[in-house]
Amino acid sequence: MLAKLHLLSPFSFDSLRTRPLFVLGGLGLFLLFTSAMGIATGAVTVSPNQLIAILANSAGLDFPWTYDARQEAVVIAIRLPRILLGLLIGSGLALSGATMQGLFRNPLADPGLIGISSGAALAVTAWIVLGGPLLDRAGAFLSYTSLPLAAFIGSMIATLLVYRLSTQNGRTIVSTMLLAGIAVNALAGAGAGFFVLLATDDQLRDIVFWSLGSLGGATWRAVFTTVPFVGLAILALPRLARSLNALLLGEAEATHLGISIEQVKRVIVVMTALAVGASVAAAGSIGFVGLVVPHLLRLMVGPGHRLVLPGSALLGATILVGADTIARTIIAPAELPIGIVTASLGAPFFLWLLLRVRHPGESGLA
Amino acid sequence: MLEALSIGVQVSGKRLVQGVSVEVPPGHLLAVVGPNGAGKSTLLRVLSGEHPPTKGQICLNGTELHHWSAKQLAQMRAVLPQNSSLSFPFRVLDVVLIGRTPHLRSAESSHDHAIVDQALQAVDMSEFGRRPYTTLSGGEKQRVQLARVLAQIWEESSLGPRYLFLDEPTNNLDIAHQHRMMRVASNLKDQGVGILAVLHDLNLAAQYADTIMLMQNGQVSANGFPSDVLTPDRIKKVFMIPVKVIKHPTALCPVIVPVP
Repeated sequence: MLAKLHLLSPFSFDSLRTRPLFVLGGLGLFLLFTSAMGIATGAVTVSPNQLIAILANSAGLDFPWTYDARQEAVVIAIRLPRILLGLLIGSGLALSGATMQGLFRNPLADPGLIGISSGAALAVTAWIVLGGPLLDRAGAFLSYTSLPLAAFIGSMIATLLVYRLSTQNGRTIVSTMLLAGIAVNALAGAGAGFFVLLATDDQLRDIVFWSLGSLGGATWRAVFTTVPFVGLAILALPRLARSLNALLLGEAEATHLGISIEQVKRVIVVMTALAVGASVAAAGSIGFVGLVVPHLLRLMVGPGHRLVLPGSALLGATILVGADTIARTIIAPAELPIGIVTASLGAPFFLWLLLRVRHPGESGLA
Repeated sequence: MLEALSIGVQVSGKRLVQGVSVEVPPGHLLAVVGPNGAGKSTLLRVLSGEHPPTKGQICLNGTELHHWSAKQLAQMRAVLPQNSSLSFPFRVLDVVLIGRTPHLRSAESSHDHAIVDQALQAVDMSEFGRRPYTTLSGGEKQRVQLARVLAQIWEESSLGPRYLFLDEPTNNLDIAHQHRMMRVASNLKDQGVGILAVLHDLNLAAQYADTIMLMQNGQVSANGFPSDVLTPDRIKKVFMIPVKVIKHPTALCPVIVPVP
């Protein structure tokens, strides 16, 4: 079922593959460029020189290019945290998608698909409705850190539920896991609907605003509360590259190669719950990044996880920052929810992927 | 030495393997034969450490199987599965390189790449190194998988003699490559590797195995030299097919010929 999607790389990318630093370096430069563009674009424009001068100034260095106080305020207080948050979320989502697809040996595995995102979304909705009255008394710090924590707990519970349902005698059955994910998605959606009914008007506004998916609320505080969650995942997940490569041969084969599969599974479950939970808490559910970015990477560099994992993190960050720049400028002064941008870019691309598999000589998606 | 004592495997109430004892010394090729559903593959899975047995004890190089870590086990025994489900377009070279996983600390070295080249040469797949695995035929894939497990146990291990488990390795292979596969196994055997191969082809087993274990309904029906195990009476009893056993014209092994 859909396993043919793996066959999408029809060309030999030998020249690129033998130069991994070239690929990762290129993606890194692309990310830098996109981020700089994002910071420079908007109602208040900032030239590249001025951007460098503003950043250098906050590091205590003096550059000859002049800028005014408004430009500095916009860059430091608004755009920089927004870019950084987008960068964290994009790399976290793409990395989670790439590791999930590797673990399940299924190109459709995605944090959204097996219920991690909806678990987080349910927890956030519940927390806004039930925890709201508590938070009013608790102070700003707790209210900011509690949301990603609640989302993490929600995504962990969803993942563990799916994992338990699909694991027998220490072995995970992938097809059951995907089906259990569908059930968990439905259940979490129903739960979230229930809490929406309970919500007051103010809470409802919060929920709707948050669920559309937006980086509009990005502040330095949001960046600092997201960093530890996503940062851990970004540090831990690329280390699994070799194990994931072995896992592509099959679970038994990976065991014979000395991989402790259950340990790898545990790390992936916890780390993706951290990254996805914190992302959902900070910016709502943003679809298609975790699904499409790893595919793009495989098309570029082949299926090896040594490049796909770090590459997905870089490209995911780039795409999210780029999509966010589009989201906040295309209908300025109003803002488009970023989920709409990623879905309208990602869904056609995904359909294109599906259609490409059905070229003559292939048996299609059966 | 691989030693298993009265192994029993029970899955959801059904006894798949019952009271089987096996010994595979270093430099020995044991062929396990028997009809479909006799428990051959189950036995291989248990002996290779993929599943714990319900009953019995398995020792590898003097230590019980579950006392070795997964990585230590992987450094001294490799398993060639019946069929591999790899559907990602890795280059053939990269697939074989995955076999080096248990020996790697950080990045793979030129030494590992040299082993990959030699392993591909051993299975006659040198020219395919840069081809995407997914474009190969079934038989070519099987040979690449053999190269991968060869790369895994290419060099002697400090933990003791090495072992190779082959689960119906000649599936999908033409007659030349069936024998080439078995000759590769024989060469490894001469280097002191202990080999347990589940085979369907009785004549391949007769020609290459040192000893043959015949299984039926999860139990050992006979175990010994090929000429002692593969008798017309026993084959008729186990496989329900009348055969004649004749002498191989050049080698010193029996040849089994079905007769109408």
